[in-house]
Amino acid sequence: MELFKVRTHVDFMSRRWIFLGVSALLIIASVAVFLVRGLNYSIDFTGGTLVELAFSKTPDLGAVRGTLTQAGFHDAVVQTFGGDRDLLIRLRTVPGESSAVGNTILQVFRKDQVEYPDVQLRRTEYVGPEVGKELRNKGIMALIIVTLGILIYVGFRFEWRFAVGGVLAMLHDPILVVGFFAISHEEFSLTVIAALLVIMGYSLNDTVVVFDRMREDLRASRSGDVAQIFNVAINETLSRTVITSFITFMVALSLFLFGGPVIHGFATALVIGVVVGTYSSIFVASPIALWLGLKREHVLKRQFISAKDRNDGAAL
Amino acid sequence: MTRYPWWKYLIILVVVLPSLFYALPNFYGWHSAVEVRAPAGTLLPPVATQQGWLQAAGIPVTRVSSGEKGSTFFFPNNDAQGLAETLLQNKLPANAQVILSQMSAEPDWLRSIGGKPVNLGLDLRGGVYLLLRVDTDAVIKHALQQDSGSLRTFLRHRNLQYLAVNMTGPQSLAIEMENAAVAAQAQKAVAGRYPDYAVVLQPNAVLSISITPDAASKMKDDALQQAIVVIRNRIDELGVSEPVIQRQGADHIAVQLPGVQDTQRAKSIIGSTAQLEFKMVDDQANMADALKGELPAGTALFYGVHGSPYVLYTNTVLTGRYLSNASAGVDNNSGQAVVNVSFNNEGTRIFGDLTTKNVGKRMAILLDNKVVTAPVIREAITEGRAQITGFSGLKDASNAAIELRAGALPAPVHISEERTVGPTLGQDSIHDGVMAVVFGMAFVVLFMTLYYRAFGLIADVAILVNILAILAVLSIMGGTLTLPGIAGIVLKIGLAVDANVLVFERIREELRHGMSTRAAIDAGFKKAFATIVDSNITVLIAALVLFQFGTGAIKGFALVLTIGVITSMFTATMMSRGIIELALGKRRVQKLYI
Repeated sequence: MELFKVRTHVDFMSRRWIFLGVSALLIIASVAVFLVRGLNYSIDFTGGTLVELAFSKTPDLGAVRGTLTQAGFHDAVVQTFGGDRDLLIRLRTVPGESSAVGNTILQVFRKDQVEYPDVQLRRTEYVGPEVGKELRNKGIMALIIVTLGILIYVGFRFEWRFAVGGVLAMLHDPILVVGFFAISHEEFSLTVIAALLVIMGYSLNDTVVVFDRMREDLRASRSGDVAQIFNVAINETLSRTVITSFITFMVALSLFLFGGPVIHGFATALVIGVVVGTYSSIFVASPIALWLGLKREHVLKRQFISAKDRNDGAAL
Repeated sequence: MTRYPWWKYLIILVVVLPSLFYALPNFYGWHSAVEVRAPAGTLLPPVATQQGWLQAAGIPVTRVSSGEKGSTFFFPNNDAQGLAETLLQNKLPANAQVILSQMSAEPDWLRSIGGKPVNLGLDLRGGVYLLLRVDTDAVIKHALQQDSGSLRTFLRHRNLQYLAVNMTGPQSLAIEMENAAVAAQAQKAVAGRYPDYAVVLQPNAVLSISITPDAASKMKDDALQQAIVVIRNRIDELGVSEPVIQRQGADHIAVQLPGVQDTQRAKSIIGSTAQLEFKMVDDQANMADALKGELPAGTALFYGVHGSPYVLYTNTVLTGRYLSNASAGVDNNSGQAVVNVSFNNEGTRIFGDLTTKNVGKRMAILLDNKVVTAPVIREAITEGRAQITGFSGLKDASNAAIELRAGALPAPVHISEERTVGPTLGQDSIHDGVMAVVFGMAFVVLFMTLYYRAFGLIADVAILVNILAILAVLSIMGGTLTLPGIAGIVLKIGLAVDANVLVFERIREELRHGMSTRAAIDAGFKKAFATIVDSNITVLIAALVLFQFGTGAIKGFALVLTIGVITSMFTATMMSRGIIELALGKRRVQKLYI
């Protein structure tokens, strides 16, 4: 089977302003939603207590909230998790509060055997306020260091116009994913940050494959029409891009569908990330490199001319 | 036979065969087991007797093994394991440890070559993760308080007249000297005698004394190390199979207790300072005045565990440091829960002197600054044994005994992060993770076979070897597999085929350009190689940073991703090529099934 029996000849570059415009709009929208609506941060970042309880029969959310209020937990947030028999109870940190709260809540429900028979503790999490702050700083640090690391690597391996294009395309992706999390208000946890980092790696991986081909074609070609050569390179790698992205999308989807509620946010970020990552490799990275004025002579191997090549030149 | 050099096949074999063997233990599953251990000196009923109890209760036992540390019973399922734990706990003496554990079901020959299954993270097997902050500032404050006493003695011995010694902050104190000349003299003397302190002469003949940064950081470091030792001792007393206790940063300790469900008990035993102190009671003091804050010099107001006030001399006459043992029990006469303590040689001597001098007076015994009991000394106790009463019950007493045996923490600890995972959630997560792996894998295998035919099958073999290699490396390294780690494997299945896709697409392209089959394969692998390395390094950068910054489950994800990037570069290039060359042999090949 072959999706691309015949070489495709899509003219990506002539429409580059449309793509860049769409991306710019999406980024502005993401940033705006993020600023206005904010993220639904998990207790990893805010600090607080989380208790997941499994009930033997579907509990009434209102009654559960009532029970909690009666026990003195006025600001408890209750929601179903995974199935409708699992409840997630979240509490913001109260100064002076300790990690014992999780157990106290379990006892509250265990006491009422009539209403809540056989309550099982699935998990409790307690994150002290100072830890939440530290985890948030660590997450931001990790994002910055990955960006710098990749920037250095790509800058070293590629011409700077490619490097800037690749890194901007790479930053484009987590911004859109964060935008999605701001809109959907799905919980933004530490594992989502892990997913963002992987998306950045994946996005650049995709871009590098296209850039590698562009560089190769630029060197081999006599023509100075960079846009045309970019088009050829994108088309040449198109079948690989589509197949790899499809496969990665499908495994991410498999995580999303079967991976369970604990890594739901992580899987969601990956599924979206794969889509925008593929998009940005083709429609953002290359147009920016072109926009920055990349020329054929920028990628010629000046520094690597071997003695043999020099002799050949002399013979001419 | 083939055009591929023999030594490359050797490398492939050297990598692939161990991967297969060391991944194998993961597929045997686990046996539910209960370990029985006893502290040195305790005699337990023979193993046969214990087995008899289990048989009598109708609990099926599959295997029993006994070693130096104790015995281990294996059960066919978790229910039998749970029943056996309860039964053994009830029948065995109170200080015997009955530990739930999971033993690998791998055959002995695998174990003998060092094969072991991957450690499962707490999110998969259930248990408690605690991040403790050691209040190291308190250590310094305490040291300064202690030294303020010895400073006075020192100054007095040197005939350096002082007017007052005051704590001026949590980490500094000021000594008011008689006059400037004495102050200058004292500065030299103190600085010489106490090298850990910075001694600054201030106007008005005041010496300000603060701890030097070097000394402070060494003191904090020592305190943290000591806290780790004490916490490890306490956890050993609790009886947890495979606990992990690690230092984290300057003042944190991370504790992982797999399988522990009673988090309250674990937390209270790990977290209490367990500072045992003996102080004399000032019986002459007027309690009414004391409550108003009018205390005789050298005394302070303390409270008992039930809230009753005591006026005690601040001087501590004896501490838990001089204990040699502590055990909980019930007093035969009163029926009360007690802790019997015995002192070491030095402690015996001090305690003997103390009780000889103070017959008829009351001595308070404090645990973490709370008076547990304050009995009257009836006679001199010279054999170095004492009984502490005043506990609310046997459980309370036995917790205190554990804490006292393990030693006091050098500073208070606070829980800054706690994550408990129940066993049902762990089971569900394993199930979900395996489902995601199976579906992800099935899709990729099917797709690659349909799309690249024979070459697709080779890619499938590469993915399979890749997953086994990840498991093998994790097992050998002693890495931990977490739920995000399993997600990493699923993701890696997708990312790993990318390298194969790059090569295969390139081969197809070269074939389209009219290259011969052999040349196309060669060109495909050669031209794709640089791209494969470039594109994998970007993922590797992200994975390494994640490993550095991530904690717990996320570290597990980063680890899988890092190993996966390296193994997939190998399987997709060298191994795939090896299989292709092996299949083609030295024949001339007209057509490739790609």
